[in-house]
Amino acid sequence: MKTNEMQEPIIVCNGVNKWYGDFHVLRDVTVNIAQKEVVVVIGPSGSGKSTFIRCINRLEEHQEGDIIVDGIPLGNDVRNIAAIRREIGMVFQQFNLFPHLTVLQNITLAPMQVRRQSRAEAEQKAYELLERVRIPEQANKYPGQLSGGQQQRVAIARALAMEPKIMLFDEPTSALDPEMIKEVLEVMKDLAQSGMTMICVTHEMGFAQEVADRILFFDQGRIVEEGNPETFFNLNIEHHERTKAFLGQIL
Amino acid sequence: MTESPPSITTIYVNDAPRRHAPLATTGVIGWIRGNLFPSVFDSLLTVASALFLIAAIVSLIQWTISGANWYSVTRNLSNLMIGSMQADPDAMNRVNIMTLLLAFGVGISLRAWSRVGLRGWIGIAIIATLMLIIPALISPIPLPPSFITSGSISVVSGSVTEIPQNTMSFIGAKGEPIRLRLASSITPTDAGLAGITAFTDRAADALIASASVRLQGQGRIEEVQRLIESSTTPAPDRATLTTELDALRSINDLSIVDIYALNGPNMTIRLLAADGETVLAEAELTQSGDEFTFTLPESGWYILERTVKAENANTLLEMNGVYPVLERGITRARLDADGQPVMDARSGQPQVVSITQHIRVTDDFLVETPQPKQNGTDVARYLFVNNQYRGERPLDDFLVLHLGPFTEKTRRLLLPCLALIALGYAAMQLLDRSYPPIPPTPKPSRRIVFWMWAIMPILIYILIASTDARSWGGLFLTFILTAVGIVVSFPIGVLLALGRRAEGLPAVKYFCIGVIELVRGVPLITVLFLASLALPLVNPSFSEVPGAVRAMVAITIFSAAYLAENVRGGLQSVPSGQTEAAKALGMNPPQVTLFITLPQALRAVIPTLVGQCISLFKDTSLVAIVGLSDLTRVADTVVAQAEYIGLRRETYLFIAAVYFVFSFVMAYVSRKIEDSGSGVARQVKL
Repeated sequence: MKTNEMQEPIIVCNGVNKWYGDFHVLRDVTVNIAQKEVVVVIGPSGSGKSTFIRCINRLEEHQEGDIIVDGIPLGNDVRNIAAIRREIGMVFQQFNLFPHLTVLQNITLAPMQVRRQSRAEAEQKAYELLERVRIPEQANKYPGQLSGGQQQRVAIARALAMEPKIMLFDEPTSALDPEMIKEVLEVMKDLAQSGMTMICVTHEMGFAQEVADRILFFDQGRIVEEGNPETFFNLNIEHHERTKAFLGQIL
Repeated sequence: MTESPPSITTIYVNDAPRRHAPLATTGVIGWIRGNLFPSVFDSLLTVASALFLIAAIVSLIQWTISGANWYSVTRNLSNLMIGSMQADPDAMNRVNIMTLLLAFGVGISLRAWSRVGLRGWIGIAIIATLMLIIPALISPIPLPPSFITSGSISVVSGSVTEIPQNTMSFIGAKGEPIRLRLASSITPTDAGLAGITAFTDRAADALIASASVRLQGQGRIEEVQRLIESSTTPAPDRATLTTELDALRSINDLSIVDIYALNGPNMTIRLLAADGETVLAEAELTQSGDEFTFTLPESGWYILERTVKAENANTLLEMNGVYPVLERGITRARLDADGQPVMDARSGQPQVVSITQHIRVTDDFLVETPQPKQNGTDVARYLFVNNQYRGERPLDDFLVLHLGPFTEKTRRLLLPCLALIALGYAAMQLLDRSYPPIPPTPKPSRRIVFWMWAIMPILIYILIASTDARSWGGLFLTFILTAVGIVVSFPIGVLLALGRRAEGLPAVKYFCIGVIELVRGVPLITVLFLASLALPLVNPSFSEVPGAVRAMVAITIFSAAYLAENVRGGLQSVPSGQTEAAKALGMNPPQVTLFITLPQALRAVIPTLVGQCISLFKDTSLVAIVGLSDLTRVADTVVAQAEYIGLRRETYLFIAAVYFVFSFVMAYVSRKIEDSGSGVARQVKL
């Protein structure tokens, strides 16, 4: 494993609080994430794990606390938000591919519009990425013509096309048939091995055990426990009561 | 070797073979069974509606052929299409070129957006061939004759009394033969008289009508007689029947032929020139079958005088080559000796003259010289009135009088249009074949069709900008109002919709809400009235803007408000995940809107937008109320003319068909765009 304690953390979350109306969804979330670290966030439904990673690229606003990504503080400054979003790629549970664009256009749109790349450059990169996610032959199809697993791999390629330093995965396999989960996880494993900083919200415990450097366990809006997979999934050592109950359910 | 564990599941080795679906559930039979006769109640409904449909269609066709008088349509086609622009040949050319341009564009779009299959081409070929050959097939069919009455006995039919018109004027072209014949061979009896299907003058019409009435009376007499002689009829009824029989007999005693002495007397005929004095020909027709033929020496007016020798006798004359004459008033530029328009010294505008044209009802032959006079008064022309054609029209008369002229007039523009549609399609097909697209790029025709429709409005503007907006009328005005309404209101409506959703800009948001709700809160009529009547009160300079332009502005604003709400619905239908994904990729709000939300929103609302276009197309008929001559208004004016009184059904049916055809085409185009476009439709389709 490649946990690198010496390095400056690329994401710093310090006392992050967020409310939906009066409902306290994130309570004093404090966590640092190092470069090239793969962090898996697990926890029961409604524990705030998705909200947490959505705060990191400002799809949700946090009301208190600091989030600093790659040295840029996340606040109301639009330029900072734009800068941070360029650094972070995100993959969604529902894929959220653009249905009116082909796979290729899905991947090249942002590089061309945001990064001002030429079409040729963006397309070349897109073909490389499709190769990497193992669906080069689907470039000119529309998302609606692909299977769920293929769509999610396109979504990963689309995020990677912006050459992000960090990738956020928000339950990327939850909407997939069991037969397709594997192909997506394979791609994610490759990505982790290539040294990408990743934060994954997932229910795939096998993936967590195999790939994660660190596991964050969320419950009711706060981090209840964190640790490396070996210790976290070891039922023989001491755990938070909530963790024990959760692990008891899933293992 | 380890022993395999005992199986606790059941494994089926024998696969059930794949078979075809039962024949009765697929294909045509399946469709009929599933959709027309799924249950007893549905079968009843199917049979009932089929009977109703057949009855309706059969009676419509019957009426079209034998009952309807399509003169109001065939004689007013260019009026209905372009209104008073028809007086200006230059404007007419421009409209024609515009139509051809649009046809070419349609051809290109057909190829870009869809495929015209073999069936489509066969259909087009059939239409084109029919248009080509129908006039040729029809030309040998002789025109029906005219029957006119001469003599001294007033003809009474019901409440109508018609005095035979012994002098009448008509128009004819140089070299045309006319043939006059005593009709007594056709009318030995009332049955022959009642069976006449032809043009008639008023008195002949009354004669034929009374003959029909008398024949009906004869039928009733026979029936009453039978009832009286029947043993089953009770005595009191028999008494009433006897009274009725006496009354019927006293009325129907003499035949119409006898009352008006139609078959006895002979007559003299004089054909006079337009001056009312020069006698061109004279003839005496003495017995049945006597003919008078004459070839007209020049084009213009002629006077036909008939004198029946016997007193108290009428004579029915059968004529070929003499037809009722329509009157039409037009205005056009006054020309000097060199054919140049004369300018008015004060206004600088071309001087205009009003001209009365007389047109022969059977074709386009017209004269502009005034009606001839005798002794200082006009000689009544062979009048065209709505009951001019007497009787149930046979098919050949329908063909030669209505279908022939209609086809001949419409094909002048429709055939070139069809040719250009095919040409545009073929050109695009060639292009697509010669430069096969590399998959990510769309086929060349797709790109061309985009640019073409972007340039088309500019071309049309260039074409028609020089014509006088005050002279616009007919379908052309309807088209222009609709096109401008759609094209201009589209960007405005999209901006309003986006503005209404601009949460970060309250000022913009509430301005947009204000505009949308204000305009949607008033009827289109009100907006039109405001633009045409109220604005000039605010600022007199507005009254110099042509009414058509003011109506355009009103329609555009009105349509934009509704469009904004439709587009807003589309924007709301785009899932929030789309915006989130776009934002997560680093796109700024304008980029998200332009590349992600708006394209999907617009695709989602194509059916609604086309629905709006269709209703806008029909709503433009409201401009009639502010004094513009759109298609509906022209139709109103046509049926208000004395000549076309009673032809409302025909005229309105025709413009209904025109509205329908265009609305249908719009709906068809929308389906094609939906099918070819991506977004929602593509997800479902493939």
